Amino acid sequence: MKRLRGKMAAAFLLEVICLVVFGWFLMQMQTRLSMENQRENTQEKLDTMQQVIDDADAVAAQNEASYDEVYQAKAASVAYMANYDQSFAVTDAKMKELAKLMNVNNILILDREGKLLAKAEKTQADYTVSRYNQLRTVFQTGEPSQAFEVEIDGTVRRYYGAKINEKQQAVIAQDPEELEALQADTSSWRSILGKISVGLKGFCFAVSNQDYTFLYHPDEELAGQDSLDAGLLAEDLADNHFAWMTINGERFYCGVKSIPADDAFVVCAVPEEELTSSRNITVAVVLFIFFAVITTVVVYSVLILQEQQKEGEAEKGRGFGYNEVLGRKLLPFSGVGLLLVFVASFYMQTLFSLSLRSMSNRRQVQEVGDTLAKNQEDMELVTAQYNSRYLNKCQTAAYILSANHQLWTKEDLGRLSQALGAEFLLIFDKNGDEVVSDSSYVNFSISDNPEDQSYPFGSLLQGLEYYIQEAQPDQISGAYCQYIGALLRDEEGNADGFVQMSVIPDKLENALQTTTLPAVLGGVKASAGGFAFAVDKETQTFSYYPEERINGKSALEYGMEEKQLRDGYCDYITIDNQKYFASSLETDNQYIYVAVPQNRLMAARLPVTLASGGACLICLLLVFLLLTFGRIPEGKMVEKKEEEEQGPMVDVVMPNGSKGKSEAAANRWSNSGIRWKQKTPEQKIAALLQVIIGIFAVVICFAALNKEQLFESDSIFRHIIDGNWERSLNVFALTGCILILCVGMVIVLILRGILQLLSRAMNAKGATICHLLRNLVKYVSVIAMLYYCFALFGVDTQTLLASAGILSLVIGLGAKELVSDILAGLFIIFEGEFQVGDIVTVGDWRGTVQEIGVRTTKIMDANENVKIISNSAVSGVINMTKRNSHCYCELSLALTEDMTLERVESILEQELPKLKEKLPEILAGPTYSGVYSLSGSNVNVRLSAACNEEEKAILGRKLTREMKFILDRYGITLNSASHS
Amino acid sequence: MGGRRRAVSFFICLVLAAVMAETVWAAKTLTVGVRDDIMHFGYLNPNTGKYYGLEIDLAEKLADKLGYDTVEFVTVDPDNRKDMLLTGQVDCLIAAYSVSETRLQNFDFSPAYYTDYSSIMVEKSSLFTSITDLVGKRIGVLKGVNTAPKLVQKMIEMGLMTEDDAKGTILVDMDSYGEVSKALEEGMVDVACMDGCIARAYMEDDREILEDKIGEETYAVATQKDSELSAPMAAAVQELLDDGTVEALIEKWN
Repeated sequence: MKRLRGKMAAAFLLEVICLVVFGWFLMQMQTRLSMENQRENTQEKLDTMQQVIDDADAVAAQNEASYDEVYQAKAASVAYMANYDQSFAVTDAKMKELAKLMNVNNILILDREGKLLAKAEKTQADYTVSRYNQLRTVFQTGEPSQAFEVEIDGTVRRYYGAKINEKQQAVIAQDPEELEALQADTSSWRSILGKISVGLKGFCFAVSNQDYTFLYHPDEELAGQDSLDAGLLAEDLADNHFAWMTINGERFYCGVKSIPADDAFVVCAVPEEELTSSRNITVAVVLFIFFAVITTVVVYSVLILQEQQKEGEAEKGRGFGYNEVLGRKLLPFSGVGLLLVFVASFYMQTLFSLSLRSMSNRRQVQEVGDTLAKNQEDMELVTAQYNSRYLNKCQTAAYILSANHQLWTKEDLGRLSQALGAEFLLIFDKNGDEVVSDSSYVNFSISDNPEDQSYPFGSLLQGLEYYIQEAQPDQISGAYCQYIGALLRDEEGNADGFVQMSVIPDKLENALQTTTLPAVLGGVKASAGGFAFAVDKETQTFSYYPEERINGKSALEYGMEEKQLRDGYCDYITIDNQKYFASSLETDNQYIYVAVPQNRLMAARLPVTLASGGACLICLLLVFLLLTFGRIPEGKMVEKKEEEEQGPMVDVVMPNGSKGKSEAAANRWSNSGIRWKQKTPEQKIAALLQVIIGIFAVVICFAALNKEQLFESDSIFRHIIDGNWERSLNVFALTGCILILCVGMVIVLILRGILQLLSRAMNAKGATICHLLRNLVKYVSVIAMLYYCFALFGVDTQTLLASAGILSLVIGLGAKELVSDILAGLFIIFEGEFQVGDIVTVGDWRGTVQEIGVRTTKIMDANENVKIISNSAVSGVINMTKRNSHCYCELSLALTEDMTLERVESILEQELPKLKEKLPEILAGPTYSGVYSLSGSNVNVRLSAACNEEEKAILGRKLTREMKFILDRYGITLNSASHS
Repeated sequence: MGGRRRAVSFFICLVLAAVMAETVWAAKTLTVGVRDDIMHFGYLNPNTGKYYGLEIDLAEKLADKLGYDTVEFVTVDPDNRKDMLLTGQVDCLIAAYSVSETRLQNFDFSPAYYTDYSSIMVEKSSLFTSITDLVGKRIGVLKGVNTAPKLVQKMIEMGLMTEDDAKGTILVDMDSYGEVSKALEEGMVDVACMDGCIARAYMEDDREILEDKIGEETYAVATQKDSELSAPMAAAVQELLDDGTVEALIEKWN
């Protein structure tokens, strides 16, 4: 016994060690896996970082160029006016007027040395100093000067010069506020890094490589703060370095990219909890399964050893060796357990890589949607901006041409066009006929046909101030250009025809280029080789796909299905025989998808499963060896004789000849459980497993019911519970089913427990109803859960309901018996024909009612044999449970001369009352009921006594016995006796 | 009885005070005069209140080598740094302080840890490309530093002007580098001439440093003449130079 205890302790200790080691191993592996995944993801971001920054810089340069071009053209047009406009004068008033017309801050006229000749607004600057040498380049080149900025006392001005003549130049000074705002939008750290998403909750930030301050951090308060103070380590900040970093106490898994050109490190950070939250649940589930398996194995073997010990107490074993009996019994357990761990591990890996992926896909596609929506706005904004720029040019032209009819020549218009940066100008008279132009169009007239491109410009003849036409290919020349018209006025200020300007909007086109669908989707870099594509809603063709040959083709032809073309789709899709895991989003006219190739998704699943399975195998092997090797008890003891104690366990011979133990049938039906000690090891293990599974179910149920409190909205658990996945045969549906089963099981268990408690407290009728209800709960819950699970697997529940109707019809026909049984059962209960515990006779069977089921009634006779009768077959019931039964005892007495009937009667009168004390079964009596037959000298008398129905038989026997004694004492001959 | 108890507690207080004083004295602090306006050398970040730069790192490494527990940084500027060190308000200067004959008379210098050249910085919009363009221009320099004489010397050497005839070239003395930079931005001066490390700190996209280099400056740690610190400081700097630490720091902050 002592040795067994030692072994038990060792086994449990080993179990604990195995659990810890296995848990640690899983944790490490899972962390590494998460980290590697993240690292790969982050690396992809880092690799594109330089490109992203360069692109942003390129856009910024482009913005600057187009901005400068506009103001250079304005400077040029001032110079043009100075040369050709008769009304032009080098005065402050004129400059003010022009500044207002051209919508600029200041216009200056300088001489060659930089002396100020005229200005629109006051300025402190001294333009003669070398700082402004750039302006004077115009005198050498004749071209507008390069832009430069000067800040004086906080006022920033951007300068553009244009040569008027050898002595003078026109200068535009503009506050570059708009440009700066534009640049902040396109090339600031915020605009670049703010758009990059890392993982689910990760972000990018930038740290100066000089003083280690945050150049950019999503948390505004941190910007400008010392990153080393916040918790970063200087040695972690190295190019392509991955490390755990701490920022204000929060741990992040970070990848670093050095951007030397900007003196900065860009860091992609993912919060630790994002990596661990998925890890923890995965590890917990696999570890739990492992725990269940190893506990079962250990407990089972301990139980068997205990049994063996009990049986072989006398002999002290035969020395050390392999305990074959135990081994044989343990092996299947261990095997099944190992398989379970394999399956659980594989399953969890699948579940989590898929759910992580679907969440990040969903987030990415959402981002794409947001970007597209924002681009739409941007597009309108940019277009409006360019339109106003072009319009300003055109109005400037109109201003000049209104006052200077001498400029209405082809040559002068050509110069003006050049100064304005326009393609060409056309002047129309009041009738819409061309007067003059520097283009190749001659004698052009505004069309009356609404179909024609020039038609809308007719509105300018009706007094409209200006008209901006959308850029389009020219109807005549086919060149892509944009027309703007502005009203011309005569000296009195009345409308006098209009000037039409043509510009080639290449700058606008460039600016809009970055906002188009291909540009946005092409820029999406999902991790693990993911990409984005779009399907047109109407035509169901790919409106964008990274592969050129698929672009524009029908989505359905390339393997997509109708049901996949919808908002919020999240499952596998097949395109061009490649399987992808994708999430979708609906926009105004597209379905946007982010897809990741399947093979990249599951790369780690098998190795991880094998590794955890291998670790589990080693642990199990260790435990197995520890348990099976030891002092072996004598072999014969295995076949020891059953103790003849009448327990509920009986030996049964299985159909295949093997012997087994089984609970007596009566026990199985009765509610009374078996005492723990009487159980076989297998039953104990089964009970243990039940408890473990129960705990598991309760935990899951608790987690599912308290999901809001326990899990954040973007945790994986929530993802599964909230059901944001496709209803079909997939791992999420399977998990959903398991969750449902857990919750259902717990609820049913609780309900049934309550009913059982109630039934104990209630009378027989209540107990019967409770019993029925328990059964009902069982069946209803099973059907409900099945139904729900079918729904999760994507079976159409409507059809299912309809088929349930058909099903019931089938049952109605085919299982008429069953229905009548159930109905009969209900009648038995509600009419109270009999109840559980009643003593009844049905047909030739007399016994106690054990159970009234939904379908059958079980009646147990005195020999504890149970007859199961269909409820419908329960007829002609004699319910013998009345208040008092009567036990009759008939005695056949031989009368003699001495022993007359009178004497006998007096003896009975005397003796019978004493019997009541002797026999406790007697409730009343016994009484002498008289003679009921005579034959010769024989007289048959009857005695009766009140008793309980169930004690009637025994009382009859006892009464007869007592009567024999009494009669013998008085010398009365008893010929025969019977009782009923 | 009461009196004796009081005496005992007084004694205990005394001992405690002595022990505390001991611990305070035991923590040796090196007070270093550093610049707060030279990015990459000695720069005080107003957001964080901390100093950054090559000289800050160097000071910390030196203090470590010399067995000090903590380093206290004190901001010095070209005007007061001499007095600060002379009066002992700082133990040493690690403040882009270049070695020169006159300074050697007043202070001890460690081996040089950095060699720099004076730079000529111009605005791109002035279109100046070489030192020859500077004749007759206003040159912004910091008061009290020896870059200006060197520039003049260089210009004389190049024959751009003579000692008697500056050809209109004016040196404009200013109080701080910030002011020099502002004057350059506003066009009040045409060029700015300052130490290379400082010029780099004021570099912007719109500015340019002319390729002409004038005067070589070597920066070293200055200590009081013949002070106890001089020898160990020189040795420590030499050690850091020998084991490549200084090189690594220059690499880091360049």
